[in-house]
Amino acid sequence: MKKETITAVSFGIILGVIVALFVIFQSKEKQLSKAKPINNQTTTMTPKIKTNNIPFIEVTSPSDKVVVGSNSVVLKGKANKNSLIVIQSPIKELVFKNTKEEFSQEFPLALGENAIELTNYPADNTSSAVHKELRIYYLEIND
Amino acid sequence: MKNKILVFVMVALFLSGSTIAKAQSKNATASSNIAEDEIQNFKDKIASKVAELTKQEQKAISGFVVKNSSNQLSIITDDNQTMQIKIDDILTKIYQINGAAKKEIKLADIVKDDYLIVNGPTSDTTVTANYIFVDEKYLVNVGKVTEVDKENYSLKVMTLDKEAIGLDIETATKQLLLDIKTLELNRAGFSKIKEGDTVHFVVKQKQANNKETTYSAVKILIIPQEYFIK
Repeated sequence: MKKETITAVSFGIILGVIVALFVIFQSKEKQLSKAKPINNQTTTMTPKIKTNNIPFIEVTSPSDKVVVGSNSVVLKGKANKNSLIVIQSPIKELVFKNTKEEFSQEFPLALGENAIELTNYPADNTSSAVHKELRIYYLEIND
Repeated sequence: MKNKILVFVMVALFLSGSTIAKAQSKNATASSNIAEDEIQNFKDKIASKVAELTKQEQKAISGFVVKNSSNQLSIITDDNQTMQIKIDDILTKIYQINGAAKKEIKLADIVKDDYLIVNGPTSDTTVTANYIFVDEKYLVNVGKVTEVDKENYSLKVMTLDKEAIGLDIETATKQLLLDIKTLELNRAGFSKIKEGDTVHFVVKQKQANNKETTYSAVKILIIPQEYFIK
């Protein structure tokens, strides 16, 4: 093979590789921009509200009116940091300082309906207290 | 020279073409992987929804009996909804709760104003009862003491929902006072309660559409007003 032919073939290979790489990167970019999640979830910008000043209390677990098979539950929830939390039912009362925003407390249950009241007294004492009622049924229904 | 250019162009086209084909097949594999992930996500979502629904079935409703005659049992719930309770003579089990124990009873033992907890599949306003428990209804609430009647051992309380309630403090009423320094609860007497204190209370509700405004307190927990002005 002549020297010129080898040079031409080499240039051809290099140019081919460059063109191919260019096309690959272009197509990848296009695909990434077109990709959508199956659940159509879209990211929305929500304004951040400073929850520190607004008194709140929420129970994340267990849910209201749930039936449980044991004589205690772990109450998990959120309330303002450093607020005083009072949890009361006909058989038990708990009072504690909510050092973190989230709390988790084991709570005993009586057989039957358990009306549980959770009250949050914010630390600044200028905001009014907020409360939430929960009904949990401890029923022995599997015997 | 023409031949050289021709060879150059042909080699370039061949190489770029084959690389693009490879890249496209790679993209196709990637797309199929994405599709599999999406299917898996979808399956997971269905599974969690089924688990959620199973959990939901383990909920109960409660309310006071408004009617129990001619095999028709109905209750009225806290949100004033009348629910029909379907009873199966063989499958439905009925118990009376007494403290920490339960005793099996008959449908005929249930009377008007009994408080029932019903567990079973619910459809609209009908519950097909698997289990019925006759229990007592307690109200748990909180408010500010507006009046202390030292002669009659009673309190007037304004709840957080602006409802005025009277509380009779009996000898059996469990009275607890919060130590504002240690946050411990100590037993206390009626004399420790002042106007302006906060009181958490438990009372018994005896019937539906309660028009009572005065209750006999089962237990109270006092938070002295000093806690809020420290």
